[in-house]
Amino acid sequence: MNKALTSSQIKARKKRCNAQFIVGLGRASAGAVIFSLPLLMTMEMWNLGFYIEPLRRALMIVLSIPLLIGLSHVFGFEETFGWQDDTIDAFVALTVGFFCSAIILYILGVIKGDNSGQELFGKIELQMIPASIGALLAQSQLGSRDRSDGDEDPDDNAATEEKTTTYWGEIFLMAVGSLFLSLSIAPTEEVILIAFSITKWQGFQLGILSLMLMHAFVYVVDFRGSEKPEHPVSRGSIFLRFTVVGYALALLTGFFVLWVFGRTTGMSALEISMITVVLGFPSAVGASAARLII
Amino acid sequence: MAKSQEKKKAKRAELSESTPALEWIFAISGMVLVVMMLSFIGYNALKEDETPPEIVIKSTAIKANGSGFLMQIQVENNGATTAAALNVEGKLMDGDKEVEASTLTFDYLPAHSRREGGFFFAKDPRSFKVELRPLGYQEP
Repeated sequence: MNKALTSSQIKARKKRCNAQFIVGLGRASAGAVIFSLPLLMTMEMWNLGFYIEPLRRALMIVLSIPLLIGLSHVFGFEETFGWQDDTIDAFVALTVGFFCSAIILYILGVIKGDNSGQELFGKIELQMIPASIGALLAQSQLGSRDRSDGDEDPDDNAATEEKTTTYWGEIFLMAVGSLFLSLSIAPTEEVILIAFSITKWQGFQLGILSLMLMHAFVYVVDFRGSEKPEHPVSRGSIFLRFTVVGYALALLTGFFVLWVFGRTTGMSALEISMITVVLGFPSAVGASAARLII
Repeated sequence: MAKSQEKKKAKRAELSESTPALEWIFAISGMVLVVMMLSFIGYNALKEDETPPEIVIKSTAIKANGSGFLMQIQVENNGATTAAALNVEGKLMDGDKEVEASTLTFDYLPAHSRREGGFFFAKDPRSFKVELRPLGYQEP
């Protein structure tokens, strides 16, 4: 992966890199908009920005930073050569997310010039998180294929693929997928409405269904194309290590998002379990889909 | 090209070797969480008692507010069903005469849960007898 370059090659590469960076920013903005548009046009998200407890809001934003750094490590804006680069890319994604959300919210009339600072930032801050995830992912999906330097290293693609096929890479992807879907669905009233209208038995069935769905997805991923595993990993092992861990992650992310949005205050343990299981369903689908799609 | 294919094979081989302890710890904790959650719901599903909402209203604080007064209340639902569109009323009584009344609506008050709200009054609730009662609800 490390090749010696002549100084003129280095200069040419830098020039191409700057141009590529601008193009990359454009792609990132596109990704940010695609990922955050459903939330940008969701009424509950606008209000959540300033009525959820500021501490919880801050916690969510703070936690999104290591998430983005991790994502960047696996994909990245450009070839990243270390955690420093990943951190920079994460903050660039956040900035892109911030500005894209702000512009769209302004055009939609959700924020106005005469809003108080608290309202302005409150509304934009939360939207920034899915937007920044989209910004990072857009780069990986739309960008990295298109690297037309003459000196492209085929091993780099293999390296990226390696990072995503390790166990921890998969788990991380599942966490990102479930966080994204949880964020998109949790603010809406329908989650609690469903949890309140269904019977506990239906809630239990939803949990089992989520587990089964995840397990089916795991097999689709593992046997994708012609990559049939010849190794004798038992089904039980796969079930425990991927499906169950994935669903536990989906439940935890769902619960965390519900907690940040203040949907769990004052509720009994049983009711909290019900809304977590209801949100856990899309969350689990998101976790599995992330492994397939990303 | 051959090098990256070799790397792929090595990675797959690594996956097939005995999985490291940390992965098993994750797997076991995940299983515990999922089993606990689902069995908790399942257990409650079995002993389901669909008692209707039972509303208890408590005044928690009375403060001067703007040009009038604010009485903060806490509403609890001790039943096993969620009450939606729950209307709650606060009346200030002088003997048998109603002096002032305020109403408030909660979108949802889940089972065994509590929510908070407040009534605005023009007169000081502390100088009157206060009656707090639920008026009606809807099943979600």
